[in-house]
Amino acid sequence: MKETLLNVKHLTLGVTERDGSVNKAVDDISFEVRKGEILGIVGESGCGKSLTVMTLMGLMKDDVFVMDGQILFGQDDLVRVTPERRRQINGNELSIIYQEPMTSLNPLIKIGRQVGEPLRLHRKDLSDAEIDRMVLELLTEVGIQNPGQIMKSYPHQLSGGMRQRVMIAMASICRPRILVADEPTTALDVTTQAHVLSLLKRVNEEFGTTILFISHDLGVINRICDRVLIMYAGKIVERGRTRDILNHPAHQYTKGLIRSIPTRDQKGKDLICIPGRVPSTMDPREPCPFAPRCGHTMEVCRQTFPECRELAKDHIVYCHMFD
Amino acid sequence: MDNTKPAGEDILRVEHVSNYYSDNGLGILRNRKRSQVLQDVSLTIGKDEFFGLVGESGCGKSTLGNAILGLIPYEGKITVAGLEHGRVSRKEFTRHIQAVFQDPLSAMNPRRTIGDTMKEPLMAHGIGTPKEQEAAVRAMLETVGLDASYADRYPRELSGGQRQRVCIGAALMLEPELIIADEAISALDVSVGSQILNLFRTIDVERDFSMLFISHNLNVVYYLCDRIAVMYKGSIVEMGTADAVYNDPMHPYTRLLLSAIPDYASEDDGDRALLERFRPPVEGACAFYHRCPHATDKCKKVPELRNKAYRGEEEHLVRCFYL
Repeated sequence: MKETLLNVKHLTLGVTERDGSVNKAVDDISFEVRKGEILGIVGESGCGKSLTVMTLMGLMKDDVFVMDGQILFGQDDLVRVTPERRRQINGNELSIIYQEPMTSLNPLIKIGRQVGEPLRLHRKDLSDAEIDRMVLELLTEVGIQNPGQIMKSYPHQLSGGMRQRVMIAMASICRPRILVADEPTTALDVTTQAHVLSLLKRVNEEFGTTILFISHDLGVINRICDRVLIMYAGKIVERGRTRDILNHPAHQYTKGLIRSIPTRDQKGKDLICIPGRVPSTMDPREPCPFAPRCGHTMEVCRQTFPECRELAKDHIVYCHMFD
Repeated sequence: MDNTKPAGEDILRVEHVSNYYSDNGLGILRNRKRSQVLQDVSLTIGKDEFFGLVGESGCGKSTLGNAILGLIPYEGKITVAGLEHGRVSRKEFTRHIQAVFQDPLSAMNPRRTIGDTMKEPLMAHGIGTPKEQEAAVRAMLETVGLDASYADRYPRELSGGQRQRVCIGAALMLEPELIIADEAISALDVSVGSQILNLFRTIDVERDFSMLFISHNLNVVYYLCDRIAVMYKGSIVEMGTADAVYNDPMHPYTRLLLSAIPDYASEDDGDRALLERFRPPVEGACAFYHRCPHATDKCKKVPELRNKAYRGEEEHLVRCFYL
C-alpha cells in the first residue's frame, strides 16, 4: 500500500448559524490521502466537501470552527498549526485552485508576477531572473502557447480555460505535495474542461503531485480520479476505487446519484431519482442523514449511524443494509 | 414523446435572424466595429414539440432565446403562434410565450409570497376573480409537485429545486404555447435536476405546450427533446431529430462536443485528437475551420446548412463541406 500523505481523523466542523445556534456541517469524518493518487470527493451542495478542504487549507470563514478531530500532514496537525507555520505550508506544500479562476487572480497584476509569487515567498534564494525563467518554463508546460506574451498580460485578457491553466501553474510552481482542486472545471465548457482535466492528470503523473479533487460530477470523477469518497450531509457514506464505486455502488445515495444522470438508453423513460431534497445544515438530522430520502429505511437507521463495513478490498460503505 | 416531427402548425418560426453587439463606448473610445452574435439563424418548433438548443458559452444560444422573447433587438423575422414582435403589444405576446431561467431566486421578488408571484400573470391579464386566481395558483402548485400551502411562503424559505418548480408553475399560469427554458436545471444539484427533468416530462403529458430547451449539456438535451440544434459561434451547425444528432452526429463540432462529455460509465478517455487545435484561424472561413481535423482549402469559405438525412428521417441539416 502506498504511503499516507495526509490523514484526516474524526474531523467535525461546526457552523454558527445567524441565530447563534451551532450545527455540525461535517460530522466525524476520517479518510487518508495516499501519495501520488488523485482522490475525488463527491457530493451535492451542503454536503461539507468544500468546508473540509477549506479547513485543510486553514481558510475557513469566521462562522466555521473545528469541534473535534485532527488533520495530520507530515509532522503537523493542520487543525492546530501556528499562523507562521501555516504560511510556510500554504502555497508551498499545499496549494489550491478554485472553480472561478478570475476571482483568485488579482486583476491589476500581470500574470508573470502572479504566477511567480509563491516562489518569491517560499524560495528567497532565487533571483528575479531565475523566477521569471521558471515561470516561463511552467507556463509552457501547462500548455500555454505564447508564454512570454501571456506573462505580460492581465487576467481579463485571458479566456476562462487559459486562466485556469495559469492558476494550475501558480498552484504547482513550488511543486506542492498536495494540490487541492475545488470544482476546477465546473465553470468551464465541456471541451475546455477536457483540456484542463488532462492537464491535471499530467501534473499528477509528471510532477508526482497528489491531487484532492472536489466535484459534483461523476463523469469528471471517472475521467480523473483513482479513488473517490462520496459525502452526504456531512458524512462520508461510501469510499473506494473509482471503478468499483461507479460500477458496483453499494450505498443507496451513490446508487441514486448515478441513476439521476440521464444516459443514452433512458430517453423516453422517467429518471429514477432520489425523492426529497438535499438537507441544509439547519435541518434536523437523523442518525443516518440519508434515512429520510432512502427507500430502504429501517428502524435502526433512525437510531444509530452505521458502522464502517468493508465490502471488498478498499471498498467501504456506511449503511445498515450491510449489517 | 416520439422522435418524429409533429404535424400541424409551427408554434415558433425563426427566419434568418441575425443580431449584432456594438461597443457603446463614448467619443474617440467608441469602437464602431460591430460583432455579429447570431448569423442568419432559422428554425421552427412544432406544436407540442420539445426542441433542444446546445452549444458552449458565447455561442449565442441565450441570445437567440432572448431575441425570441423580444428582450433584445434583432434582424430577421420571429413569429410565435403566428404573432410577430412589434406587430402586437408585449402584453399580448406574453400570453403565448413564457420563460424559465437558470437562477430561480433572481427571477422572484424576495418580498412577495410564492402565491403573489404566481398570481401576477393572471392579474396583469385580468383573468379570473381573486378567488379563482387563488384556486388556480393552488392547483398549479400541485401540478408542479408542491403542496398548495407553499402559496403563503417566501422564496427564501424554499430550496433551489422548489424555487425552480415555482418558476415553472408561474410560466405555465397563462397556458402559453411556448416555453423558453434557458439552462433551467444547470444550477441545481444532480439529484434535484433529475426531478425537474421528470417534472417537464409529466407536464408535457398533461398539457399542450412546446419548449425551447437551451443547455450546454448534450446528454440532458437528448434525454428531454424531440429535436436538437447545435450552435457554434452564432450559427447552427447541425440540426435534426434528437436521435440522429446524438447517435449519428455528422458535424465535426458535434462529434467533438459528444466526445468531450465525461461519462461516468465508460473507461474511454474521450477522443484526445479531436480536442487539439489544428491551424491558425482564417478570415471568412468556416467558423470551425481552425479546430476541425478534416478542414481543407475548400473550408476557407462558409458552408451552407444542407440536408444530409440518409436514414429515412425528414431532415438532418449539417453545415459542412466535408460530408
